Amino acid sequence: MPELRLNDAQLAAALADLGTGIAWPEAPDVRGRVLSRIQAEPRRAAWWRAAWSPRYGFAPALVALAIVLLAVLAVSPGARATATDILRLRGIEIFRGPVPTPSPTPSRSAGAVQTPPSLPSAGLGVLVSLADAKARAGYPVLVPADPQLGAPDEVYLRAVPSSTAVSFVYTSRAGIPVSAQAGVAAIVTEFAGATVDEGFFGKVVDPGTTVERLIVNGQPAFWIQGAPHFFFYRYAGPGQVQQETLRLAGNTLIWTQGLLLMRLEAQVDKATALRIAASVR
Amino acid sequence: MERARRGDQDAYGELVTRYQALAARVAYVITASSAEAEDVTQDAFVKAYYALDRFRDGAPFRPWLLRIVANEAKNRKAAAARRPTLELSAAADRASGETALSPEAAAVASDVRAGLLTAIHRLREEDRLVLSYRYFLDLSETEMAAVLGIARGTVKSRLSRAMARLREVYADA
Repeated sequence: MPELRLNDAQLAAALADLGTGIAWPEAPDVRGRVLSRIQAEPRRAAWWRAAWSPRYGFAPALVALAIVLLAVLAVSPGARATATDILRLRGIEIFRGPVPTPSPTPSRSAGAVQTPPSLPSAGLGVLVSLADAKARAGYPVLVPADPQLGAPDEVYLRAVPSSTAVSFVYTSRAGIPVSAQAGVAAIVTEFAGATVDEGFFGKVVDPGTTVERLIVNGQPAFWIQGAPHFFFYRYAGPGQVQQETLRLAGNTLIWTQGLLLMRLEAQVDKATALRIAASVR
Repeated sequence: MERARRGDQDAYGELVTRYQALAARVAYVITASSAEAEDVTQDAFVKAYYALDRFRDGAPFRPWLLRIVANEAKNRKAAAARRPTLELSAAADRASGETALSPEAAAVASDVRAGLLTAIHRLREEDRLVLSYRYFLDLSETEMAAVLGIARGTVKSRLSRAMARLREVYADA
């Protein structure tokens, strides 16, 4: 090896010269693939995306969650029954345990949430007509027929990797408080649950929240009452993990109906939620 | 850029076309795999799209994008199994005078060039990345700070430390 008799400027120049001769791999053309991926899912509104940072990805979040759950197990034998109470429902797992981020004292009052008010449509997808939703969902769309809800005020379509999610938004209804978090009274969301069987759909429930196993329309269901909920859900394929926060701080009923996984978010009591679920057709 | 931020996907497509080659090289320097670099590039552009409204008005796009690329590449690399270190190879040796070179560079004999490349491969990753970003990718100080995840004020000292180590490694070879 010849001695490096170069001053700093000469060494820098030599490196720059070397740089011009690097045999780089052929530049990929990812434009088409990037565009098809971002067309599949419109940008979500800022309020919930703020929780998502491309810097961290989701593996760390899941690891943190696992650590929290393990910590609960380790320090509190009494909590073991709760933490290990992972309920299953057609591709969904509901984890009971503390949320990984600081949260307000659990409260049934919607006014206690810290998340700023947002548009009701945030994260739900593209506003369409009910007829459009039925034509484009790719499965027979079911709609609640309960007279207290009546017809939805807005219908949204959102592509998920394996299916299409349809959401019905009810802005205000007599007897149902409007959520301080989302500014609407109720949201019903459905998608073809059978197609997400391979993934998991985890739900982190605040310690003050109760999860109750029910039967709706002859099939298993879960009634979740209390503070805001976080979702982690994954579709088949590496890295396909997403986080979602429930739009309403209200109670949630998750049930299956045929091939569909459905959820009702509304600050109503269990009897009302079940009545609405039973009205779906 | 502004159109892309408002959700114009064609405008975003233009950004992808303009920056994908640079993004892929940054990813390649980190992952040492052209296949991984391509995946990283694709994923980084998708993530950047969904993060566009956190992009500050008036800030330069390149460092912001390259930071996302670098983080994505580091995550991938950490997740992947051990791989051989990056093998940057010099393109076919150019005959002296074939390319327009600065007077200093023209003076660099091809055996020095080969020696430098060997020495760079022997550097610690931290030093190799700094030198690669500066001299092979011609990144600005702001961009280097973004991809290295360090303050802009520390870029110069990192660079001069890497240069010093390069001299040592070269001398030991």
